[in-house]
Amino acid sequence: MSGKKLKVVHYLNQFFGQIGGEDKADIGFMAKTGPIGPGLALQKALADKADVVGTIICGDNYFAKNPEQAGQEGLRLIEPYQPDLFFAGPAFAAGRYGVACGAICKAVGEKLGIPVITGMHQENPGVEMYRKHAYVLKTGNNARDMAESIGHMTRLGFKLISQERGAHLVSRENLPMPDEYGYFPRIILRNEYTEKTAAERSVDQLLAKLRGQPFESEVILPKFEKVEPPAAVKDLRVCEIVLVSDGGLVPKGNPDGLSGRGNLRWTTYEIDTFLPENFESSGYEIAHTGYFPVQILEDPNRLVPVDVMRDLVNEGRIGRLHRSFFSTSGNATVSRRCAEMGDEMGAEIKRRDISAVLLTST
Amino acid sequence: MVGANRILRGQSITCVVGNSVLTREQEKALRRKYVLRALELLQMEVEAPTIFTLEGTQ
Repeated sequence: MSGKKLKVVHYLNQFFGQIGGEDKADIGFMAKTGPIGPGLALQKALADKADVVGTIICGDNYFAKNPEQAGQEGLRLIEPYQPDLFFAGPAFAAGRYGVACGAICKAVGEKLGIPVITGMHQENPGVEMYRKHAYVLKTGNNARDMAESIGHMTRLGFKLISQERGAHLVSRENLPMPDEYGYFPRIILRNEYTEKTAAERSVDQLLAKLRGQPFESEVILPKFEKVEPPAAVKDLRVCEIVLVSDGGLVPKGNPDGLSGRGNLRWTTYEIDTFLPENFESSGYEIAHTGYFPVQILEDPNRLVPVDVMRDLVNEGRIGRLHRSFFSTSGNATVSRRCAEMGDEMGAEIKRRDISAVLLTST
Repeated sequence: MVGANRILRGQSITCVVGNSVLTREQEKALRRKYVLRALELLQMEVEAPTIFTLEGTQ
């Protein structure tokens, strides 16, 4: 860093930007000169090393309508300042604000290539959505934590802008450690220098566990989001039900190219032709290497209960069986892609006006 | 089943709604039990992921 002062731009929502409360949440973007609200604390923390040259403000509802697009709109107001560093929030536990902070950081970081820093509470949905795209500092869940959070954000900002080289990384990149600087890991994998091999470290941890001593795993377990249970079906007799399976059942030859392991695709087959009453058991294959497929290949109804569903429709107990079967293969696929495929299938199922889903899983 | 809220425990991984030891008729009757139980669960309110069996909850 030379003697030249750094330029900082700060993003705030309508509330912290002192425009108004929830009644002003629909307001669009505006740019103001200098620091505002929490920006004053930011300026104080930056001291004489940097100036908050501008504050960008936008209403939470306006931003939330289309976060990616709003991020681009905000970026156009930010670019003329030619900032060296960009801060957003902190948003604490405020969901819309967190998503806005993340989206605008993403837009600025990608376009301007400068460090982008925000702060959120761990429960904020913006953390999972944007931690790969921004440094998201861990904060408390409300604004009482403001001064401390801003202090942490500033400390990380100075570290990022410094020309220091990372001593612990083989690449020597200036990439501060998430734990040391209190931000959510960005899922960036780098080789680092260690005193002990992985084998030694694992045995150390196992021994610590056996002795009942504390230890910290190096494995980050995936966090699964809660899915709100759908409401109960009221009357099956007017329902159209679709059969879905992640067991990898496909026609012989696997025309849609589902993978037996780490599959990323889903597809649909028309039940009338795919699994007729007098099906040929030689006509199928299982694109799934995670289970023994012989019994299901003998009779695919053991995975996708089409025969019983047909009977129940004929008896009038359910309205209709949906004409297609949704097929995918779930075997060691990353959970993020599984969730995406679920969203994609869900959208298609909704579009087809289907009332309920029976999903069979191996 | 991450994310599913109404979960019915099947017969086995390799034969989810069937049993190859049974005769065809017996097996289809068993499958019918599974499907009817699944339909029952669709009509039931749940608050969180719950694992059901043919007879009750796990």
